[in-house]
Amino acid sequence: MKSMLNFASPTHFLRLARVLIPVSAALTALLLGVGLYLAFFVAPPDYQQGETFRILYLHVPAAWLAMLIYCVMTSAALGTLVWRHPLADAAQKAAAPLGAGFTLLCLATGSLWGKPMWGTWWVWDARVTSVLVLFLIYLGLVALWRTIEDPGKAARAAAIFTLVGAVNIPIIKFSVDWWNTLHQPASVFRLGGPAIAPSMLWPLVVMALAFTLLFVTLYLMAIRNEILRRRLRRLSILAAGEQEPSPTRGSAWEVAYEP
Amino acid sequence: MSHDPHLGFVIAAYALGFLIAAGMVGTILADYLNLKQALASLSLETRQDSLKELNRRDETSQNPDPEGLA
Repeated sequence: MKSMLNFASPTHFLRLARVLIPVSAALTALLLGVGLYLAFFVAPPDYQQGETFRILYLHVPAAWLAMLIYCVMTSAALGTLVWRHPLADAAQKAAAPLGAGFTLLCLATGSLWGKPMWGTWWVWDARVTSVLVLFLIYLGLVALWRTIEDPGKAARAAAIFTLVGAVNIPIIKFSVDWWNTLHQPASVFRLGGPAIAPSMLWPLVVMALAFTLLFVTLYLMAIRNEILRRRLRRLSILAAGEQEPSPTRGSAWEVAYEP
Repeated sequence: MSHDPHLGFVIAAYALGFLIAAGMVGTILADYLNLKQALASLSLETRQDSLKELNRRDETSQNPDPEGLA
């Protein structure tokens, strides 16, 4: 555990991020280019949905990421509350706006697909509603981080909120099995293999990888920003000559963000 | 593809995807640049303060009785 703490110290992270961010960004651009080419020029139109099904190459990866990011945030919340890992707070805070962004994309593209296919922009279906709840949780977390000034207290409050909100993830995943929904059931990760033709499945796999790499790139950049923000705060306090110890002073969090 | 009656929805979805992704990238990059600038100006300020303090100490050591009271 001690070696993990040392390895993932903010200073080590910044060094690692300097190398990883350009590599990850280049891979994202490459995969997005390939994925978009496959989605528009290789995948044939669907026999029922026509060209509209191409929206799913954005919608499905965004939906996967909306849930994946929440799982990442839940791990970070555990890191904050259980192990008090110095990077966990930053990792938690950095993920919430990205999760909100990908969930918004999922909802908006779903709506743009739903209008021509279902004949409506929105239905209060279990899957769609639970994803809307996820979006509201992300917004709540962003608001929570901005409301509480002390980063230590904000991290603990956000971690508890995140862990409580994690109950929504299995609800999203299994909503299509538990309730009779308009939203279709799983067609890629299911018993009996994917229900999609390979010519349509491969562009989806590439787009999902591209979106995941986009998230990794943005996440590394956002965590780096959080570390810098905490260093700035720490330096400002030191520069102001504040001698009074703060409630979190001397904790792993404060020591870790020493420049 | 251009004959599909729902092409507008496809274009709108991809345009929105581009806008959201560009928004996230832009926000994070702008935040990074602001933080770097703030950190640089703060360290410059700290360095200037230290320099002033050193100069003040130098002046005091060269002239221990600046007001000529001794």
